[in-house]
Amino acid sequence: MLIQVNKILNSDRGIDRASGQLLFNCIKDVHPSTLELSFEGMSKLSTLFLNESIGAYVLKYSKDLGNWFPKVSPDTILSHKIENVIENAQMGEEFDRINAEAQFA
Amino acid sequence: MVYRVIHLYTFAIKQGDLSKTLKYQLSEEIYTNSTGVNTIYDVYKFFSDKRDQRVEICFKNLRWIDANLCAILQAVLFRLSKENNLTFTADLKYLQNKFNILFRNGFINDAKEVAKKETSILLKTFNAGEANEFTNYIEYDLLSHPGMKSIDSATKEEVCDAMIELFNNYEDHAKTDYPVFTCGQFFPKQEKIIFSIVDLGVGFLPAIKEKTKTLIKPITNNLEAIKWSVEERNTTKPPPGGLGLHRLLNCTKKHSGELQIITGDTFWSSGLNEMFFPKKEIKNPFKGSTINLIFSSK
Repeated sequence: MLIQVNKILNSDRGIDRASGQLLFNCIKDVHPSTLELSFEGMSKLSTLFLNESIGAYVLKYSKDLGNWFPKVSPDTILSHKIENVIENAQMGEEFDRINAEAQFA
Repeated sequence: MVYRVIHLYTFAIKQGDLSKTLKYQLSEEIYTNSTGVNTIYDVYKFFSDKRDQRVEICFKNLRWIDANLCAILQAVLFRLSKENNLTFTADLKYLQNKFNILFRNGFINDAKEVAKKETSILLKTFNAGEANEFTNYIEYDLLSHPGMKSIDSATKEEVCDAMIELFNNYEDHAKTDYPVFTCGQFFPKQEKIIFSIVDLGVGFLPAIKEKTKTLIKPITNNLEAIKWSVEERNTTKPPPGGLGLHRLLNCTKKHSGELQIITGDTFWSSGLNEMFFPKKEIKNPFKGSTINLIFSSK
């Protein structure tokens, strides 16, 4: 199932909590094995938006994720943000703690 | 609750008890530095224990104000208006002659738009939930301003992205219904552009203190909180102060500029930091936080 984020949001920006929740509601019942999520055509994505949408999705399907990754132009600010949010969602609070301790060591 | 800018002009036509009019003199020069910020915060301190009065802000002894600082002054007047029921006025005729910039940038009149050749970046307010409007303003009013023409497009994209992160963080951490105040000014002679963004929230420290309380060295003061917020980090959730500040610091450095952060009793700037001055004191702390971005337009 292909879901294009810009069509769901009717915008090329995903930069607030409400938009993130809207996207999550659209994808939350679609298993990663059948979800093709495309961020192509998006110009701005904020961490808040990504946490509310794909961050929440990754948490929900943490055991079934496999190599799932959205479609996005590689090596852009947007692709790096998506990578970070997915990685961080998989690592969770423990990652925050280790990272914070390391910075203060 | 949605608030808009309350302009001095609006204050002037409000009915007040004229017999109780207080006068407050702004004097000398107010620049974008610790002295300038202290001068504006002093206005708040002076009126913080006064209520239900009419106040004239007198500009006659003022020789200069960096117009971007209207964001801070407006935020101060806004809080005093909302919380202390103070009504502000000014000698508008004098201001029209001597500080016309305050009309052109929207501090006094509700300027709708600024001509491209104009040096101002309009004073605006943005409420939580207005990330789209905020982004439009950053893209069109700040980043497309002629004073930013020497900044490369990749840096502009980075600044815009970091500002969105900053705005999201205000929505998440500032814990206030009051808006964010923004204003900018291009200084052609000095070849720099300064942009100020002010919120009336709880400041950096409370959320960072809470977030770091289980660490070996928890954050306990404003200077540490600011330094923490400008470090590069990777977290599951945007931290207080934002993921944007580290990137804004890099962008200003890249263009021979400066990042200033003021919260609680602390004025921190990347310039001071490089000179090994840890901070300057804010003698009358104002609840909230102010960020000044300075870019060289050379």
